[in-house]
Amino acid sequence: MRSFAFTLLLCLFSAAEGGAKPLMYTDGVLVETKNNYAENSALLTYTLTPLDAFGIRVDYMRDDEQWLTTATYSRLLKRWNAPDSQANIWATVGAGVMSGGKGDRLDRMSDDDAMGAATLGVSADWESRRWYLSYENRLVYTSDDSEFHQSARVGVAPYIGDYNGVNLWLMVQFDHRPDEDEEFAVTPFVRLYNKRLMGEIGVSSTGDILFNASVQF
Amino acid sequence: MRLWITAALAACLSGPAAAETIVIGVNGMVCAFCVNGIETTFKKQPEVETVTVDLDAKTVSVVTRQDMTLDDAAIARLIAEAGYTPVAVCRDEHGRAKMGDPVCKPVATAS
Repeated sequence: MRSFAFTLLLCLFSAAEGGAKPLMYTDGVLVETKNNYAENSALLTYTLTPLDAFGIRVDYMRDDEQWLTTATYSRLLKRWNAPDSQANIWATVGAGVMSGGKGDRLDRMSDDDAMGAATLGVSADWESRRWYLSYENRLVYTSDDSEFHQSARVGVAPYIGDYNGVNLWLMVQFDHRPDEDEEFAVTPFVRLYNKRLMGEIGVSSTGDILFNASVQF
Repeated sequence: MRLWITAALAACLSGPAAAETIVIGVNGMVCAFCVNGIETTFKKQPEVETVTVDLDAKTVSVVTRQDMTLDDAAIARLIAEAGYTPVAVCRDEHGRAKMGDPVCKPVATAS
């Protein structure tokens, strides 16, 4: 019930959602919500320079019923701008608080239960106007535990959209979460975007809905 | 005297400088959601009247306000701030330049 309410709040408070890069243009602000079979997330990111972005991220991990709130810093490690494609490698580190949890910890969930948490992730993508490939991983470390997640995406645009039109992509996401009840998941989904707005919706092999939305300012 | 009259007449007839159309060739423009940053970045500049992105031609066309211009260094900086790589800047009085035209000059970039 709590996760449903959280998802609903995410949908209400962010105009769109998606798998957008945190590094945009100087002074750009990106608001995102990401919802998949394992977690619900809300992100607010500010791009200080094309190489550096700072953000706030809140995740609710449904299996463990845990909340993770982190301040994040993303650094573009390398970008290749070619005439017909772009590729990027970037890293994101985060520091914050993990709270809540299953069993005994859930019963006595309070501020006292919060513990420090650190995150580290590396992401890479390559895209042309027709094809899309990406990979990302994330390690969440607390004094209690550590969790690792990695995912990859492949996509194709059935038509080449122009700058002012609606762009449609057919994509598949592969998730690997060794610590989850469902270790692997495959999620076919549709991505739509038009300038400032991006939305993604699909259904995973676990029967859960993927819903991502992003809006940039 | 004759020179003075000619100069005065020329000054009266010249009026304000026309707006300038600058066509910029850019590498890496493949996603409208991402490229939107270029439009946003240029629109913030006081010299800029309009910005048009053409993903097929891989160009950004900028029309400046009357009496204003953007030099090549400023253009290179703005494109880089949006996360892309400028490759050429074309300036002609009609704004019809295409990549490869003699009016297009390559842009030197750090990356």
